[in-house]
Amino acid sequence: MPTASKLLVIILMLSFCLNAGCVREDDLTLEQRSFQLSKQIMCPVCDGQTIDQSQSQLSKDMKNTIIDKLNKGETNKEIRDFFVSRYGEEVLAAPSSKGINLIVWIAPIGIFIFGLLIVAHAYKNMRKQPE
Amino acid sequence: MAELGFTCILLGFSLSLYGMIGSALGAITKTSRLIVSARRAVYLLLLASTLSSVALIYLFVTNDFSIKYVHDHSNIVMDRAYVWVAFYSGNEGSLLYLTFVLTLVTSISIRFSPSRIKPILPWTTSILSGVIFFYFLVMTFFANPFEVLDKEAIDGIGINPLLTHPGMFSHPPMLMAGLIGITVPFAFANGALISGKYYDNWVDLARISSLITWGILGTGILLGAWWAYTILGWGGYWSWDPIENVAIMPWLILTAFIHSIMVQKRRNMFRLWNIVLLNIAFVLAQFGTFINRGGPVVSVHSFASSTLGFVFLSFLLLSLVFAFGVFLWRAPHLRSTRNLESFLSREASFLVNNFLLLSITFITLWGVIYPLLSDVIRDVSVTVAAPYFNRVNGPIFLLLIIMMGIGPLLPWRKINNETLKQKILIPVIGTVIVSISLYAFLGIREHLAVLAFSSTAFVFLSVFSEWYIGTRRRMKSNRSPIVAWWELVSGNRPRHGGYIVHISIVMIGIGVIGTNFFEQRTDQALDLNQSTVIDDYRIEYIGTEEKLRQDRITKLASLNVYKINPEEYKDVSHKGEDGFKVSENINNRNDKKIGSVILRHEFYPLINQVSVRSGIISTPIEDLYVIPRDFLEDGRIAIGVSINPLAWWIWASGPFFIIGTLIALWPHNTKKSSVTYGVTTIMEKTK
Repeated sequence: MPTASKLLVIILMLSFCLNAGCVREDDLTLEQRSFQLSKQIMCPVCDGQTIDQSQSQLSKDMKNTIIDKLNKGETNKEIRDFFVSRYGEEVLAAPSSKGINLIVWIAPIGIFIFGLLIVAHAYKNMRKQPE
Repeated sequence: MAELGFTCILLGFSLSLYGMIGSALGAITKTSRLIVSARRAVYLLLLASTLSSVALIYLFVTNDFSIKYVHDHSNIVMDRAYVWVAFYSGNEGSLLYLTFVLTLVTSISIRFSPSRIKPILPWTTSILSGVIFFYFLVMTFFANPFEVLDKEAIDGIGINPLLTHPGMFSHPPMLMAGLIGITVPFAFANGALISGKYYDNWVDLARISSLITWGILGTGILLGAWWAYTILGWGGYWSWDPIENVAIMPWLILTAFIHSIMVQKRRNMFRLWNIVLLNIAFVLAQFGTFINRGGPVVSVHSFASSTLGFVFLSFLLLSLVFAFGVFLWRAPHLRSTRNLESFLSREASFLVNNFLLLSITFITLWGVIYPLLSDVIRDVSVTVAAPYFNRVNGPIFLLLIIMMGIGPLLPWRKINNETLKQKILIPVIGTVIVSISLYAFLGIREHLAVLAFSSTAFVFLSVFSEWYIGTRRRMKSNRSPIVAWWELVSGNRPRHGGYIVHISIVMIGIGVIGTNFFEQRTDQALDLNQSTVIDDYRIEYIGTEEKLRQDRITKLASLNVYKINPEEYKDVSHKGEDGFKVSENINNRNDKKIGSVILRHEFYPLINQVSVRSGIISTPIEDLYVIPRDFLEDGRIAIGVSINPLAWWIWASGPFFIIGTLIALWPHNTKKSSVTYGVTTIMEKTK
């Protein structure tokens, strides 16, 4: 199979994987959404733990806040925005894809493609050399 | 005793300095007496580090709180078993432990290196001694384990409660040994480069030493994940915490190396690349030390201290400059002469394997560095945690699993159609059957999960079909299958040991897929004798016991676990929710008690810290995981219950990983390997 087609297959598989990984909000119960959100919010006073992981009192309070808001019918995004307005961007476990933080998400794709190019180049070089 | 300990550190400081300079000077001036003398100094380093470590352990065991480090990391009332391992629980002591391990592997490597690498040995010794010197320097001036406490103390602060777990005996020592062990293959490779006598003989030594350190590091990482799962009480095992990341990055690079070194052994290719890999692995290990002990990131693991930050950062930069410099100086002499004949070859598949592993490594590195960059450049705080890493690395891990299935099927150099048909048919057909079964019989609808499971099936099938064919062939002369299989495996240990390791990795993969895609959870607050029902389990709250100790308040909650028929509970369940609560008076149902769990909640008032231990009932199918969240004032207990499908497979992989690695590195009779060296050395001379 020619190199180009092989690379195309890899990239196609990647995009398939990335898209298929999303679980939509409407498919989940309120309790399941509370767990989903807890994994996306950091505990502001702990060492790099999400409120899902942390045993601290603040984390417990934040989890209760999430449950209250879910019962009131707020969307996941609204709840996340609420915590950001309270504690700042760093309360999110992964940067949002708006603004300059988009670079966090673009860079991995760049690294992957850069690697692909190096592999293609190395492969071409290795083919050229005389035995 | 503390004086003895510190004196040994000073001794180590001097001896390693002499070893580093003496070896190098001896090599340059070709003075064999200097080389031998420096080598002896390096052997003495093992004595110095051992005595110093013994002294520190002695101080802990005898509760000598006049020493600051002992005071800060132990107390009288702590469980006695942990007193023996508390010495590596903090920064200074773990540096001493690292130094001990490094001096040990240095002595072994130098003592048992074969005579054919004698020309490069002085440089290798110098490099190893230089790294040892760095650690003795840090302990002498910045992080002395034997520093005296500046006040009177009859008791200490105590060990971090999260560390009083059986994992403490194995995870930190193995992890640290694995990371520092990278220095050995690094020293062999660069020693060979500097000496200008690039005999390919160092390749075998680098391969063996990397495999050993890779195996120890991998086991250490797996033990850490097991520890997180059983003690931290959040039901997870890997959170892409910065400290976890800096341990796995060198491991991934070493994984790439142990694969591409096979291409160098077999076809004398990738010679430059293999050195680059070892350099990257070593530099990443130093980066890890900097992140862990220099304090720029927040983590449950970090030892955090800012002065040390500059010291480790400097050493990191020094390593980078050294490795880069040596490489640029000597690399032009090393271009490989063979070529790649086809993309459908094992060489090419190792190229892809390396690409995938390095992508994951550098993407992870980016995720670790980005918050630091954002802080320093924009003065804006940003968090990059598990959701990010899972999202970006997940697909690449999947591709890696698929490669684990494809790679072994491809022969060296070039594939021909016959081989292709014979080897690939059964695994591919089997995988398709598995995919269909997952949809049809298990009713799975998540396409990504089916793809992932199918990929793991592909790897299993490709290994087992090769074993089946090979074993059958050897059974012709009436041998039993087991003997035939063992002969197959012993006949090519790197390959078949590698297959066993691949199986262990896909076992981990199965567990990761199960827990990530099919977890069920519920949180409930239960009164006495109330139960919560989730899936086909009922968990009933029986009672709580409280125990007081000098330094902590322990609450132990007992719960009974029953297997139920969910149909019988339809009348009390809540629509759509994973779990719900039931009260007593449920006698007319056919519940079967399968066990009980004890949830532990410990509060240490003096240090204001909480440690919980969850109750786990584990089967190969799924884990029932119960977390104590709160002991409420009204007598109720708030618990979190998770069903973690296939989690068992992650831990079950451990023994296979270790056995596979051992088989892969078990040496053959020496006659076979020396032929390859003869050929490459001649080629070297005739260039």
